[in-house]
Amino acid sequence: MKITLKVVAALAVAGIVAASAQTAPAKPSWKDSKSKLIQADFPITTACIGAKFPAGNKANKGMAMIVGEGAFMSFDTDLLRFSAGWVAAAAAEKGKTNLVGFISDKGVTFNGSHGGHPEALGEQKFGTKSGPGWADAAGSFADPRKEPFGPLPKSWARWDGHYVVGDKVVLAYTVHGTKIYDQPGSVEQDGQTAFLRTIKIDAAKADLTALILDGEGAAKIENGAAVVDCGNGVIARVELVGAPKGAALAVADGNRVVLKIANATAGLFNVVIWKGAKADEAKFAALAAVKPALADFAKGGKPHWPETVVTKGVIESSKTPDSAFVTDVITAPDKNPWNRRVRFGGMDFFSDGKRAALSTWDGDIWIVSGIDEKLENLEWRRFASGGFETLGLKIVNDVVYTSGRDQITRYHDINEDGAADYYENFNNEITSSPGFHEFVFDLHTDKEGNFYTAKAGPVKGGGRGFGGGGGNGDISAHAGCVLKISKDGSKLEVYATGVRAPNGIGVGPDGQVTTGDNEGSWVPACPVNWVKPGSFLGVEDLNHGLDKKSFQQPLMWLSKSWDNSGGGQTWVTSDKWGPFKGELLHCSYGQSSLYLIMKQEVGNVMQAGAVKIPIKLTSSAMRPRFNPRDGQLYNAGLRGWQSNAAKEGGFDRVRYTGKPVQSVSGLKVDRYSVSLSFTQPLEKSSAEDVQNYNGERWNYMRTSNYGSPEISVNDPAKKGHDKLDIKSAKLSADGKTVTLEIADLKPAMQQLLNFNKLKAKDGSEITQRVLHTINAIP
Amino acid sequence: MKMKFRSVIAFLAAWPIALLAQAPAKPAPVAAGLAVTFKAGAASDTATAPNVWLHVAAGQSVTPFIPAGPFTAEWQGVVNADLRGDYAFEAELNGAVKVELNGAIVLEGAGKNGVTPRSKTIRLSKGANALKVIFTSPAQGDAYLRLHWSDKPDKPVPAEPIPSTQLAHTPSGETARGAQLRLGRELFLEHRCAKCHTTPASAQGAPELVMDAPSFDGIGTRRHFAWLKEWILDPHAQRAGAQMPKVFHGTSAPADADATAAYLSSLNAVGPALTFLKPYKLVAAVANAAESPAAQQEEGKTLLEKLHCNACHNLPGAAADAKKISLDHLTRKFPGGKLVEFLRAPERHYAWTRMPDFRLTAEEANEVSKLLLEKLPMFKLPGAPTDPTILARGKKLVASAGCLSCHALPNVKNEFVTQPLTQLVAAKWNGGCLGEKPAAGSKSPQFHFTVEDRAALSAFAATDRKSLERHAPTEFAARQVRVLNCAGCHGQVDGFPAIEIVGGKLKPEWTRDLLSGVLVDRPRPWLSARMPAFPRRAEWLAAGLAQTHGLSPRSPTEPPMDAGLVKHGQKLAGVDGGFSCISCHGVAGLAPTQVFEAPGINLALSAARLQPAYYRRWILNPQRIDPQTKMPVYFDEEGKSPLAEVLGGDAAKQIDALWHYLRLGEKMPPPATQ
Repeated sequence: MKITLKVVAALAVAGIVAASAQTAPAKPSWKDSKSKLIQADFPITTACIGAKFPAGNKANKGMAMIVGEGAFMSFDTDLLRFSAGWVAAAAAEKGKTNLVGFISDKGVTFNGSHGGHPEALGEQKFGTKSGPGWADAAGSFADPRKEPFGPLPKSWARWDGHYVVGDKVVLAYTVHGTKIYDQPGSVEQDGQTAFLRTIKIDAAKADLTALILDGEGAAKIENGAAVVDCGNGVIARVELVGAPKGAALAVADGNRVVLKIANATAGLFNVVIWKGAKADEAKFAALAAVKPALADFAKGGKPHWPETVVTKGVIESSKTPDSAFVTDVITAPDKNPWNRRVRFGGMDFFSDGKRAALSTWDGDIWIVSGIDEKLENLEWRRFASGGFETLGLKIVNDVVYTSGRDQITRYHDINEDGAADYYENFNNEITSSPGFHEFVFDLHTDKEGNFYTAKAGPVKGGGRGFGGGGGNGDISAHAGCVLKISKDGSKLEVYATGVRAPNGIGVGPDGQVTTGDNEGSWVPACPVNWVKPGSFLGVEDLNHGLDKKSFQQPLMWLSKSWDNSGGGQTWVTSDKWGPFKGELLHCSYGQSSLYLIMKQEVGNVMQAGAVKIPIKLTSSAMRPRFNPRDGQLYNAGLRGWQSNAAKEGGFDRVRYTGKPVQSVSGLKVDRYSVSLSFTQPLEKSSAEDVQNYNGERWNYMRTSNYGSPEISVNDPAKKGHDKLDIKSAKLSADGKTVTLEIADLKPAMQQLLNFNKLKAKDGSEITQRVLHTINAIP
Repeated sequence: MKMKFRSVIAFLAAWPIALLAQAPAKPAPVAAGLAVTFKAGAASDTATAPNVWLHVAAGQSVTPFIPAGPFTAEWQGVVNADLRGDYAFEAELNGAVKVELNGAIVLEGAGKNGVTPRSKTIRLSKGANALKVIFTSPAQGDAYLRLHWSDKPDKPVPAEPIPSTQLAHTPSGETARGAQLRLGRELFLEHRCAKCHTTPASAQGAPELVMDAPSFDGIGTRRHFAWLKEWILDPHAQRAGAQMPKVFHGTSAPADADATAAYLSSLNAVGPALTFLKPYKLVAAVANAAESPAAQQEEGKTLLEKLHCNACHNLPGAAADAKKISLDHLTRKFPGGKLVEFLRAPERHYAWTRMPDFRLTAEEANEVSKLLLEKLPMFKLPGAPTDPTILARGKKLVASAGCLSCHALPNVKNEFVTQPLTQLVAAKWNGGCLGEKPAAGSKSPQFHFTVEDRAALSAFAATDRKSLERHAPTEFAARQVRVLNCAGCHGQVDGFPAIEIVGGKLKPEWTRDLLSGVLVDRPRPWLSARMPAFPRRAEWLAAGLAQTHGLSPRSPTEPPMDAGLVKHGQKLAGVDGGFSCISCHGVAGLAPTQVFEAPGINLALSAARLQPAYYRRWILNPQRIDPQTKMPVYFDEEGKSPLAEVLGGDAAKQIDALWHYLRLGEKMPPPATQ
């Protein structure tokens, strides 16, 4: 197989540049071009991939691969089957899509549409039913899964990962203990295309049966080849080339072509698949003449993206009013030779702190170096591509892991040339249905090394309700769950259920798990969840058997203008970041805002308040992390759905300048009062003047409606807020805590306290708003 | 624009801030809005106003009780601050203004179609702060005043209206008298008193003076005899709020009603061919509308529910609410098929009907009719008497009893004569039609006025009644909003803007066309509810709503469109380097790309709909206007945009560029979708 380059050249003319190790890159002219939605210069795009036949053929975790100039194959990593092979559209249809013949750009990650996913374009040549790609130990292809989502049992078949070697992809998996390498490819000549599966097997440990295709008509074996009568003078033909004794084709159920491999068989051979006019069958022999050859994956391939993109950072692009925090921009490579969209979904630092890896929603990983005080020479290198909406990234021992819709992937740069060679499946037990809202958000580890991520619920295209099939997706086993994956990747368990769209989680130094969420059905406002193992976090459609009445009140709620769509959390582990060490920070994706979360434990009930740290970011606030080297906070974010984020992607440093922070830093609810602690001592007359304070409170209603009206705490039948009657304000002896006596203080889902121009001892004025939730009153 | 300004600054400097900030010791005012007293020469009139907004077109009267010409207006009340804080004031005006807060002058100046400089910063106390504003009309042109404030005077963001919810006043004898006079005048108008007690028509007079009543032309084909008879005999017994009086009294009343109804039933002339207002575009024509959450939520609702008929009516089978109009009589009132015709064009035979025109299609009208009638018992109704004697008696009664003062009937002369208005001395406005009880043998129509109503009518009678010859559109709008029960839906039902804001939000021309029933694009086609038409009231209602907010009834000409700004606006609306407005908002023929729960209004409609000032406030911070909106806030308090590359990241410039782009309407070029 050779990816070359008619398709690519056509794109270059259109102003889109493709570069690969094998060809001299054309000069970029991306300035005025649109971002490329589907890349042609890398062999893999992973998504739910639909195909025309057999009916209902969708690879929920489909690697759509460019296996020739106009030849494409899709591999389903849940079921270890090639779901389809197809060729580019006839000339007459060219120009209808942005990449003729490959896959359509439908889907939220691509053209933004809610509902739908890429479909194989062009002319499909073969396909398989959505079911196991390898038979069980008894030779049966019956689907053993409880629901048609998620992988086959590990004892049956395990997806190990794939190698990228130049433009070739080698798939690696284990079936009944037998390691199998399976390389898709094609032979294109004389107007005909044959698809290849180059299979290497060291020594089968059992009798194995692989699904090759489900014929469109009756299949039979003729001289070792399988021939399918597709009708109208069209046939499909499958042959083995170089097959060892013990490997043979067979027909099952009348039209299914399978490959039988006897126990102890070893060898390297091609499965050649062709479909065409019976009259052209004579051309098949030439197509089948190609000798089996597997890419030399063990040594790693040449880097796919030898060029780097160099940007210059911006120091102090904005600052807080007290000048205690400033933002420095780590300028993203949004102008790049590959015209890739740079929408950051995950970020973490290598141990040196000068380099970070960032994954994008579009499935790329970038590594940026040069993160120093001045940010003058930021060098961005593409490290990997083809991921399935990689919205989480974690680095452990300087090895990159991402969370995607398909799996946790661990990346290996075998030859240490700066690009990933082996994309290892660390754990792929997570379920993924064809819906568009199947996001898998964020990736963290706890102090024991276990991984955590969160999967969204399959929100319907319109925004309300869940699942229902089709483009809306299905409520699969892990929909709306916080998931824990063991340190070695061997085990995935549901840690909590009932989240809707938790675009960001946090794991504290002591292992405390937190999540945000996005208002919607059963999420009346954005919460910050304080997650305990086994807790149900509120979305009743996604309780997965947990008692709906066991709903665990969040740490706090955030009203719409504070947070209409939650991002991630992080804990201040640094002592170089002002006075907040040990505190929790929460990001609002929708409002691109950062909040200090002020926790309080009342008995065994947790509650909190929030105050804004008013910094400005390049994109959304979504993936906050502290840098181990400089101890400063960094945030990466994207704009992919409703947000006020300025740019599609951004990476910023929120740096503490050493100047005094002027802010509330603590909140405590008592029987008759709420106390606010400040970072600075206040001037008594100002702090104790009740005219400087006001407040209000309200509740939300948890229903299947989208979000909630704000309703009176005093009279639940009434919409609106109750004004608080603040009786007095008393300043503590150290001048740093104001205790507000509030009449009729009671639990409220939301309470807002405002103060205007409080005088600090140093003469400065503090104006802030504090939003909090009272779950319990001491 | 010319401004002259006395130095308020020097004045303020003499007052320690703390003094200004002292809270008044009086009890907190309880009534919403402000008291406002208008004076012209010796004439004085006190009303209440929602805000310090005023607009009087040249030649108009500021209120019906003040002659046209120069006037002053003085607002009194308090502004309630949420928190002790610093504020600054400014005014857009044509005229002169003086603003006093807590007894100190904070803004004083005159302007000709301009805006005053912003006042110095004023510290307001938490709670009530005494507010007094005096406006003097200009020598020429429309008089107007819009007082604005900023609660962030140190930030470069525009001033905005003071939220009306933060204004209050203490009712006084003057406000009570103003309210009583208005009630008396309204009762006089709504009961069509001037149809019998005639008064010279005036082009500048109250629009209601020409209000009609259901036409008798062909009424026999549209109403059942049995219902007509019952209604004529005692309208008030049929409907508590009926304005039609009981005309026939005594023992002959049933026979009179019978004869009158019989005669009316004989009037079966066929009118001109039926024509209807053009329906709105079908929801199905809107991309994704059927899949939208709003549509999902409406699933299973009947058309009656979707149209919110129950805002005004007790639907058959539902619990009765005394304030609403029962529909239990429909099978007795409408002959077969006539309800459908009525529903499709309620104003056809009665231009001033309060029943709105929902612009129903024939299918929808049939559906509504079916849903209403299927729960009602069907009667075998008696036919109308056809005895010529009875019909002749009926015809005579129709001609003589005053029916034709209000109801039209071609070719029959109204023989009823009574005293014209000028001859009705105020002292006698307690007998006849206005008697507490009908006098024995009285032939006066009986209206069921309350004690309060009669007092108000007497008070009105004691004025010079010149107010009938004057028309203040703001007051007309306020009356119509009430009698049409606009607040039955607006501010009640999700998706309906509060009626109090629409005049400041919508361009009067658009409101007029909406109320006239000529617009075919619904801004929110995903809602199953629709705004019905009130064609006869459209013009003045639209004008009055805008003028209530101090805005002209005719949108001022805007500066020429700037092609460069249009380009910037197009970029800002797109995904690539813009705010991605296209995610939620369609742009002309281009559907939104990512509607999620909250579809937005097609941007091609925006410039035709929205007051430019409202648009600017909305875009700058939508959540400040509607805390529940799903529209994000993009611009910050420093007047900066997050998109620094466009127009230097200046919020005001970007907002202006978007407006230029929006002004292209249906011709807006599509923004980038990727």
